[in-house]
Amino acid sequence: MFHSILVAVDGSPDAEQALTEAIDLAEGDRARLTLITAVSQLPPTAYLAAGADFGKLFEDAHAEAEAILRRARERVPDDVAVRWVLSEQPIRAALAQQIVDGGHDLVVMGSRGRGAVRAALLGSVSHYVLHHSPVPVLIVHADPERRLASSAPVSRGRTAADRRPVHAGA
Amino acid sequence: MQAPDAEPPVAATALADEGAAEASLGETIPRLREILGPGTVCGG
Repeated sequence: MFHSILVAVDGSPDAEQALTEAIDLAEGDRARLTLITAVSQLPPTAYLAAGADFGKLFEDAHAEAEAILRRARERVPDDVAVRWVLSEQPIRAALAQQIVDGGHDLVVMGSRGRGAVRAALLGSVSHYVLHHSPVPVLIVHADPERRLASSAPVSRGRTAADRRPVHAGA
Repeated sequence: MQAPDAEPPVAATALADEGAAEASLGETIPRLREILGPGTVCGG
């Protein structure tokens, strides 16, 4: 039985499906849900670009992250206890820190993020978390078969395999 | 003349940006808590 579920949201289809699964688990286990997202990291060249309004770029990235959190929060039913974390760290570091600091006992996240480049980058994030998290990780795909992969059985007597077909990697 | 092992000077604009970011964070957290409920913003 899970008590505290951490779910990473970024607005991607995989993350949307991850949130669906996390809500389902939280409702079933009466667990607390924590939504986490990170402000998109601006490339180093953003600092150097002539005439670039870096403050505006940062504000836009912040606003985007806040909008993602708001949309995710709106999806969580009233009977689920929920809190949120908005990190200005890179998402990999943010997740690693929050897993420990938040005392979570399950991490749920999408396999890949938005867009081709970001998908590759966030795909590496899910891979990293899958292999370094001290607690079970549920990696969710949003493809038509809604495949799931898990680093470990995800609950008492109920595993990801009971819920959806499982693939062996992120 | 700067000593060889001295810390490089920090640009004034960088300090200004940092101060603005902290001020922004102080406003962001209460605003988001009002919208989203309990939660926090972790600095970079």
